[in-house]
Amino acid sequence: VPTDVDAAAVVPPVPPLPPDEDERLAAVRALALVGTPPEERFDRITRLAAQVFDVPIVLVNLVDADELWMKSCVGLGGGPHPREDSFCTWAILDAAGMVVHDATRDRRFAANPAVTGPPHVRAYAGHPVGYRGRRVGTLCVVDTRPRDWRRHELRLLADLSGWVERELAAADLERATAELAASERRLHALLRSLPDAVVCFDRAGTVLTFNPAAESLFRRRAAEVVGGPIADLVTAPYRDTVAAGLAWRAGLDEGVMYQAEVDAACAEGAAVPIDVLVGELEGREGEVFVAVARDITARREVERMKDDFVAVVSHELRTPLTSIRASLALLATGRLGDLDPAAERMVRIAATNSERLVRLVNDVLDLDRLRTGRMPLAMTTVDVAGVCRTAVDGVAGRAAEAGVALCLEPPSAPVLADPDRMVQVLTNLLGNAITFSPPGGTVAVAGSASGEEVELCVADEGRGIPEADLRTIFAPFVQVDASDAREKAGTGLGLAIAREIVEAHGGHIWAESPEGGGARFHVTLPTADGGPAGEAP
Amino acid sequence: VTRRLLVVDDEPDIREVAATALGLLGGYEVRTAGSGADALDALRDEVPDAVLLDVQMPGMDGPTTLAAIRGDADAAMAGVPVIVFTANAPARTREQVESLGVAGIVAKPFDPVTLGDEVARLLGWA
Repeated sequence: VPTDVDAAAVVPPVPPLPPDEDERLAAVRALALVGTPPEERFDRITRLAAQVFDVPIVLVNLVDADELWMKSCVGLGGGPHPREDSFCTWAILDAAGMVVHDATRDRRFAANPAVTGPPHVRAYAGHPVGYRGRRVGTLCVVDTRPRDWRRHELRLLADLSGWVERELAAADLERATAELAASERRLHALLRSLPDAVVCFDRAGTVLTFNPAAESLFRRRAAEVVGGPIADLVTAPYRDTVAAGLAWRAGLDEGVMYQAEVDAACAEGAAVPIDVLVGELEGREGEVFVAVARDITARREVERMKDDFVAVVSHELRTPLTSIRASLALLATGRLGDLDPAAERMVRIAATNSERLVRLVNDVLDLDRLRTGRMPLAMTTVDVAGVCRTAVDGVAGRAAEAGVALCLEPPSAPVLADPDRMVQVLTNLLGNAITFSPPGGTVAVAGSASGEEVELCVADEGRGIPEADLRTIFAPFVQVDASDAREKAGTGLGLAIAREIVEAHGGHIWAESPEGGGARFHVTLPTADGGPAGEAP
Repeated sequence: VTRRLLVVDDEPDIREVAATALGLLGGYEVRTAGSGADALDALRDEVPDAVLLDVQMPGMDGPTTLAAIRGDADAAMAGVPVIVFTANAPARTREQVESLGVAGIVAKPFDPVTLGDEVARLLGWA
């Protein structure tokens, strides 16, 4: 028979920590209810329990690291309470909770301030409430008189704590829903404020969303477009491209983007050039694609103006140059009257530089046409040996002037090429080779032909090219050593033009500088597929 | 025999340089015209042995002038040999002038020292 415990004589045991305390505390924090004010959804449970159990105190407690947070209270003020003094610290140790019939006779609680002083707790029944599988707190009923808790009362308490658990989980769901809604609002705000048109569509090509930038680009309302086919957003010539894109997309890995320039079909039959990037979004409803489109009318206009500008400028430059060059050439003949040696020198300097300016204008124009694809290539099947011979003949005069020997041992193979342009490539390479050859040096044109391609090599015995410059020399206006006066005679565009021409032929061009000096420029061209030489494809 | 040429170009400096190259160096007798319309007037006045015609000119351009020459009622004028000057004319313009019958095409900028020989070669006078 238990006897009254002498409160003063008993040292209460320290409540042990649950074995999963770290995970339990993580769950309490994830719940994020410690420190929050009372809520009706918990208060209605504690009010109901107070009535049903006929007790003065009912609490929903959350057991945090150092204190209890009374989330809902009947009969007490709520707020925090030191953990070590609490009944609930003991109650969460057992899945079934804890009951105390008379606290004054329980050595754990006899000296508890809540027992010895207000509110004079005598009987306690607490059932843990779980959240994410951890006992984060309790629902407890407290009486100020000793009490035998009946079995049906404890079942009821368990049921009510289940209700509290439901409310905790509901809070979780509400928070997730709110976060989702907020994220969706942010996404919508983003889509609304994006300057780019954003159109989502499904696997079948049905438009799902159409943002305001899309509305203003296409001059169509979202309501008119959503639910319709994506292909209606481009002009007729591009509809097949869109269909092919949809089919083609099926075989690609995730995250691969598809980019194209097409014409947007706008309201009233207007067409606007757009740049489109299509990517895939993961969606629960299946594949969702997103197309981001941008109006490139201004960019096209700038490109057109630049093209016109280059064409006009080069024509306008050529006209006065024609007069300058021709009159200087006439003066230099001496047929218009004898020039004294100083005057003749000046005329020669002027003539040389006007020649150079003409070459520069021609090269700029050529490079621009090549880059914009406006240089038509007159492709025919020709023997690469003939092309080499023509180029070598063309530079023979310069080679002789420089005291450089030319050695021609080209392979013989049919290639599909524009012979004039390939002569231009070789002339540029030979010109460089002669320029950088020492007097008495040799410039060799050689090569080999395999079944699929012809490789040509122009080699000189000059000082070579530093390793670091082997790639950059093909960029316009790049010179390896600007202090070298020999380079200044060139336009700085020869290699850039050569690369454009070779690549337009489906070939490659590269430079190497073997140890021991000299530079080697290699050009490969695909061989013609057996067509007889001289016949157009 | 001194051959007579008519040089048609809207650029006065180019006219003069070409006239000097062909006259002083080439030994031709050279007249000039600054436009397609002036060229037609000059041809009606006297039909030379050949015409050197610039393609790009304001107003009546080369092809238009050439068409007018070929369509003229005067058989001598309509049949005059024509060489066209062109500074990178588009392929279509080249085809157009070629279809109207030209003795040759000289690229601009031309070499004044060899221009006379080039003209003689194109016209079969060399």
